[in-house]
Amino acid sequence: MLDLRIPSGWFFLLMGIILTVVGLFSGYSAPLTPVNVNLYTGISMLAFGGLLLWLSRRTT
Amino acid sequence: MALAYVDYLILVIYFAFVLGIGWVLRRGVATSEDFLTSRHSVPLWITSLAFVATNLGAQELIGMCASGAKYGIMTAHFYWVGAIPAMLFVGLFMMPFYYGSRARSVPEYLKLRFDEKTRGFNAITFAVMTLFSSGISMYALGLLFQLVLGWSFTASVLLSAAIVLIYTYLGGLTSAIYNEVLQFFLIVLGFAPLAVLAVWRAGGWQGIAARVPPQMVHSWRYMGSASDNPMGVDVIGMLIGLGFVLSFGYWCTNFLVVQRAMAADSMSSARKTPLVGAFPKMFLPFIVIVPGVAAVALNHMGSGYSLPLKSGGGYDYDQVLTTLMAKFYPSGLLGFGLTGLMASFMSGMAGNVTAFNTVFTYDIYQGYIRRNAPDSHYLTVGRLTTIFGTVASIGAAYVARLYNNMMDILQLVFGFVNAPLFATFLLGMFWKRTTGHGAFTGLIAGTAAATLTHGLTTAEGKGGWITPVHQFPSTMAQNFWVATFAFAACFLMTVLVSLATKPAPEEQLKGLVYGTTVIPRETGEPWYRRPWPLAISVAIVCFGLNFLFR
Repeated sequence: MLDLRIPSGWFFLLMGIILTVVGLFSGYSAPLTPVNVNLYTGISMLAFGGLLLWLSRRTT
Repeated sequence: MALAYVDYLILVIYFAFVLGIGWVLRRGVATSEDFLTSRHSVPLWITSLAFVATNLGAQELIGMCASGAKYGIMTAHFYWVGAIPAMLFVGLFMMPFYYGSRARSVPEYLKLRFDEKTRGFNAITFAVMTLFSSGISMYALGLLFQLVLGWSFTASVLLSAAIVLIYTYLGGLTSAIYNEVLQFFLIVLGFAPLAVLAVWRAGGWQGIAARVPPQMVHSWRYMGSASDNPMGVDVIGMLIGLGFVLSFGYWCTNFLVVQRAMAADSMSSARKTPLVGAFPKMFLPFIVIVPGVAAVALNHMGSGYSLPLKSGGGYDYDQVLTTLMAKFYPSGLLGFGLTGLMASFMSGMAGNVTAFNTVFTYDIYQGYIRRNAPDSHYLTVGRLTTIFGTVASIGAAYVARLYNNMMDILQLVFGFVNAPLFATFLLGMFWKRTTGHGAFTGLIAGTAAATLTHGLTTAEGKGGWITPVHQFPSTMAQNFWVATFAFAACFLMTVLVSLATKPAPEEQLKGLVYGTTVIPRETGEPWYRRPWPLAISVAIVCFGLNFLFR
């Protein structure tokens, strides 16, 4: 059966790339957020996606 | 709220992934049991997250944030007093009977344990209820997207329903469960930044506590008397009504959640599903309730955020979550957050649809319409029911949109039907002497007691349609007491009628009742992976959370 860690890992890796790129190049503009939250969440998602993929490789 | 291209891109990628998972899993569906029950094949980490996610629908997300803004951290009682103890109970004590019996659904367990009429009563009310709750949450989502994004109600309802239909039709329950896990991650990652940003902006928990009324930052201190707290409930009514009857009724007998645990790959995994799920569940209030509390503080401090107002006056709490997102999330993360909202809706709806099609196919169709057909026939029926369930939910969404009162009435009726159920299961599982006639008359008596209590009491102008005898300070208090009386009536009636009727012979009750069932002992596993140590550690952490926010 499908190892769910693989598609979810890729999903969050992809999300992480998109948000990191948006954070790096288009900056951030939300009325109440003074930090580059796209960049920070993007990096966390890259890490999370990477972790899921690493876990799936480790066991198979 | 305006979306940029990147926000749409994120939404589209998400749709592609859920459909893709359904597409890959379609190959695993050969029999009706593959489609409807996953045939005991899903690993523990997936069932436990799905167990939590299927309850985390859009209505829950929006409603918990709204309650956070309205009542404060006291809303966490729904988690720390309500859900967690019930989840421990179902895992430790009830799962051996659900998983160990040959039942494929909760109503089917009732048939094996009691008789046909008890099963029929439960199956039919459950099927109708799931369709309406799926419709009501679809309505809530459509309304929200219309208000916030200006999307057409019909377009957002049809699009989201179509996607859920496709992936559940392709891969059945397995596909619904797998996607629920992806949805769970998405909801947590999509809303955790909002909680962090909102609390940080409001000056941390101390800053919030300094700005909002003290009742909003303590979950226990103001519970002594109903008039002291905004919920209008006292500690006794809350502990019995919510902590015992309502949440045990929901988490222990609702097939929607029990189905996730029954799909687990072993008895041990099935028992541990709610226990492991309780860990993330305990911390969800920080993501779903705390932003609502922070919103009230932000509103008081002239930060640029103000609580949304209703056109007729008063606050529109249901929009707290989305207005917070609009103020705190830039394009990119905003798309991700909205995708999280969409995901929560889908996990709730897929849960309803997959529970509905199983109960309809096995308990109604196979039970009463066509009993001995080849399995391929039931697979087809299961698939068709999936389509029918989705279409009927869409219909229910439009009914809810047309008649707002009808929604209130329906939710009331659900309450009446659900409240006594836990008494039936408690007696059925732990007292051999309980009979089918006892269970059935107990359920009827419980429902009648609920109706009667509601008709004789009023709260916030609701109820009291027979003759108002007593007034409750809030509808929440009324709900808790209605449930408590329903439970008590069902319990008493079941016991009395059982004692007067002939019990089933003991060999028929093997695997179904405490005392005639071998309760598995997980001796092959290290101690920290066994159910009891897990449950005790959940209980300790949960107690700590209650203490911290007392």
